[in-house]
Amino acid sequence: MKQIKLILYLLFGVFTVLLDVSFFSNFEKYGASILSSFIVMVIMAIKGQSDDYTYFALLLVILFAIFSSLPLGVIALNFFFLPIALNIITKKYFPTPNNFTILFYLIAASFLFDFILLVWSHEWNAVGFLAVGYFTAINSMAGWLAYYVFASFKKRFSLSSEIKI
Amino acid sequence: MTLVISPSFRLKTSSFFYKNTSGISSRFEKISLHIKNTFSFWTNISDLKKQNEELGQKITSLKVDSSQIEELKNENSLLKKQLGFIEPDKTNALIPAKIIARDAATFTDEIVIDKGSKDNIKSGMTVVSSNIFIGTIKDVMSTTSTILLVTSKDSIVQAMLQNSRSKGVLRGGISGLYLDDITTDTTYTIGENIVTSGLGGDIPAGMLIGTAGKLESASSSIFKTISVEPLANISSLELVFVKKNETN
Repeated sequence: MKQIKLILYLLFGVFTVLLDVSFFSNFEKYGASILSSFIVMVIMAIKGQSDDYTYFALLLVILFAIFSSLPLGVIALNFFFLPIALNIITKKYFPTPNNFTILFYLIAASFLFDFILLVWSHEWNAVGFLAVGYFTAINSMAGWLAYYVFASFKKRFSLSSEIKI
Repeated sequence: MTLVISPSFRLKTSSFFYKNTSGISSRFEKISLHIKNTFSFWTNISDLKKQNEELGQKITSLKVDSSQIEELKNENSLLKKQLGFIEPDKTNALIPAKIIARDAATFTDEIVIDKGSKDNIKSGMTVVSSNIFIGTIKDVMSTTSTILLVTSKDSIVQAMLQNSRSKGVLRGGISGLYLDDITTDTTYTIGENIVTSGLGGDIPAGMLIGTAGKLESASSSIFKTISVEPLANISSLELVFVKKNETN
């Protein structure tokens, strides 16, 4: 991987983590908020052609170890092993996922992410389950929207470049 | 791997990153709070009207209370002077700090402030907002510190009911605040103040936390558990004050 790409990943990773801890965390509802870094990583794991997503995942593990109070084991499980599992499933069963498959992946990934946190925190009560539900709903919807916008831009840019050629 | 092996290395790395990104963090924090406040104003406009009327009535009754407190204050200072007590300088005991980051993950309740060991912040110091206890300092870095909020699942605070003087343990969590281990013979009224009891010596006694809610424990329980309504709205805080303990 080129050095410039690594630097870009680092800057983008820091930006999304800062966005999570200083911006989205203020819009918390039932203890859950949008986790943009996680959304980006899930989309990269599903749609990424190369294994670049693993570098980004590793970077997020380090950044969350710095910016979050979560134990490193939980962070590694959620930000590293979860996207790897997603990538394996995608490559094996859905090599060209459509919009609905992506939404399904986002729902499953967000649910697993927060469910792992629920297990770690031992908050086995109605509010805890509500937090998992809310986290899954807002993150999968935000992720799907982000993917849709990104895909539309990509399509538009690739079309305009084709016309130029 | 070093992050796992050495917590001090994790703290040093955090300190480095927070130091270099605190400018961006505080800007993000400011923008989000501005958006949040604007939205909440327009969505709660009818509630605000109702609240305004209620607050007007409260102000009148508080004015009466205030004048009585003023009288007692004067009387108290006069008696203290006569007995030779020296009043500590209360304004110097508070260190103002801006919130620059919050834990983004669910089930965690910690915030980061822009003051650290360079500003004489020490681990275990109490943090207040409008004189309401909100948490304690957990980790101290050179220019930033982490606050363990009273609403966190890891937070355990010795507290008591202000009028009945019954002591208990205040625990946080995603489902709210609860005052545990209160003796069964305790009688209390809903809305009664919950204050820190000072037991253990880490947190000063008499700091307001919230108000007592309904009884949560079964009648057959050995101890009573009551829900606590926190008085500080932690999610909309921008500025907090770190209180220097008498021992610090």
